[in-house]
Amino acid sequence: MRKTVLILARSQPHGSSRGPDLLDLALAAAAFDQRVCLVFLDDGVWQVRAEQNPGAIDACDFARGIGALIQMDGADILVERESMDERGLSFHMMRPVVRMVSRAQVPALIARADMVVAG
Amino acid sequence: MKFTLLITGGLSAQAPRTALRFAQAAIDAGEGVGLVFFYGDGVQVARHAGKPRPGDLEITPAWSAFAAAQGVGLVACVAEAERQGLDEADLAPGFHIGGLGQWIEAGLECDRLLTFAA
Repeated sequence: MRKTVLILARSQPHGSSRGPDLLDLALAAAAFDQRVCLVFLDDGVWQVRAEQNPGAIDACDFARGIGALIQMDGADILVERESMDERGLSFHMMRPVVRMVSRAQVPALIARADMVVAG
Repeated sequence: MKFTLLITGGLSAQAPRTALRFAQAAIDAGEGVGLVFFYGDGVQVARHAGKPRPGDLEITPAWSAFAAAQGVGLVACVAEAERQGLDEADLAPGFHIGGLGQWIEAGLECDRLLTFAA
């Protein structure tokens, strides 16, 4: 049975374990052959900002795991445009593994998903 | 309807308390709770040795009592448990250590997955 697991990553990358915890959930769902849609929105867009140096604050670069997720069949990795705009970010500043989605499209993603987790 | 619960809020958060109220309400309404998965800071709830602030609900024994009464599985994430130095011997009654795979499987079998995060 294949379900769609939607994960909404809304938290900044460092200072809590929410970022790596949600990425681990996404990787586990993909490893169990489920369709995974990982959306970075609100402060979560900072997780996929390219050229970070978390080692400078003794934090791990967990977002590298997104590269592993993209290799898995059925994984879709999205970043919300309005959240980037509100934070002075642009798509070219993001890691190359994501594609963009508008805020207006997110409710439809939620409605289509079988399991939704946000953090 | 059958629910799977994911709790990521820890001992000082409201999440495990609200989740317990929800789980009991679901049972009382004739619905089912298949699995409760404690993840991230939620793993703290599984440890048996805590002493809450006076007047606070003793949330860990409350979950243990709920699990015993309703036969619901309480699982603490193995990876997070290892990070916190928690093993099976440290767990309160009714709690077990398990992997994200159990959460995924429970999510596939349930009708709704609810997250209690804060």
